Amino acid sequence: EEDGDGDAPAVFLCGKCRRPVGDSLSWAGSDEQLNQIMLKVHDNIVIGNEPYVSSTRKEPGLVVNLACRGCGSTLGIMYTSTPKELDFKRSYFCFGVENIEYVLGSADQQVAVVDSKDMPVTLELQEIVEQQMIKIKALAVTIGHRLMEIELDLQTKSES
Amino acid sequence: MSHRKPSFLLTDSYDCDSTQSSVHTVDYERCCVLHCAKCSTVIADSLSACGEAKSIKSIICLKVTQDVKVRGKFEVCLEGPLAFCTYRVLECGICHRSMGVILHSTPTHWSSLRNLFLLRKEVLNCYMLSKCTVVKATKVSFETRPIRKNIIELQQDLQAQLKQVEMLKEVLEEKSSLRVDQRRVRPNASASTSRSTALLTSGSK
Repeated sequence: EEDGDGDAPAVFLCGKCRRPVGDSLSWAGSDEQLNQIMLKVHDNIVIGNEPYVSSTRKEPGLVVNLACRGCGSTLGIMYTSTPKELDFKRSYFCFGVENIEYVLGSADQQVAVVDSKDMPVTLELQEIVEQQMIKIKALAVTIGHRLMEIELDLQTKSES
Repeated sequence: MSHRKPSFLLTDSYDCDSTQSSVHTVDYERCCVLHCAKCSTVIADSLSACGEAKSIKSIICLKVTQDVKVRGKFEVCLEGPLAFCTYRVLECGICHRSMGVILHSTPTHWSSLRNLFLLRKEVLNCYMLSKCTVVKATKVSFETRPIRKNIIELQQDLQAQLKQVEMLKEVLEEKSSLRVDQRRVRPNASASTSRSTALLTSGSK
């Protein structure tokens, strides 16, 4: 799921009203057999208050339904009590993979021609340049120290 | 003492690892996805944002999703911040709400924004990754930070270092020429050493 487009994270949206319900940065695991993904808590979800017995496995656990805060449609379940084999799911939000996802950076509509010379600098690129500058600055400080050491070394040599 | 290994060669640890510089890591934790505030359709994300046009309260985006539709008709504005510009209106492909504009022809002060998507902040929501919260786009800043000052500072730092290196080079050259002299004339050795020491101390300032 999350490796779909390089390392870019995916945002999961409610299949009905497209509200964002979580993203793969809060990934907690997946269950391929049940086509489920697990995420950590999110604001846009209403947790049901009536637990019922899940019948998907041989050993049942107690689950509550998760609903979209926007449209009320059911998004998935959350185990509130689990047998040992399902401990990895307890307290996480389990969603069906049928919900829509949007992979960061996958927007591709662009106005016809923007050649490389006129290409605007995105905030992301600016950030990268800033990071590089910080590294160069740190390197400059290191070189400065080394130069000072060389200088002192020469000085002590000439004094001796 | 004279042939001892300089202290900087004894330590292998370098504060900066040059191999790391080739890896550009995007901080996804600080990214956000822009949604239509009315119908929650994904409009764009912060990876394609280039900044903010404050006078028209819009986010400047290089790319948007296919759900954004560009109206075919060119419109003209004769007053307000976009006076004397021709533009096409952007709308949400799902709920048809007006999302912003693409500038087609502009006076000089807007020319850098031509052919980019200008999305009105007031009709957008931001889903903040990692925080997992949805906030109004008007509460989020997309401003660019000026980088020129940083570049000038760095340039000054490096130029100062270059001076230092040149000075050291001079000192070394002088020392090596002194050594040749010393071999020729033994008695004068002490006087010339004190001279080179004076030069070194002035260099370290």
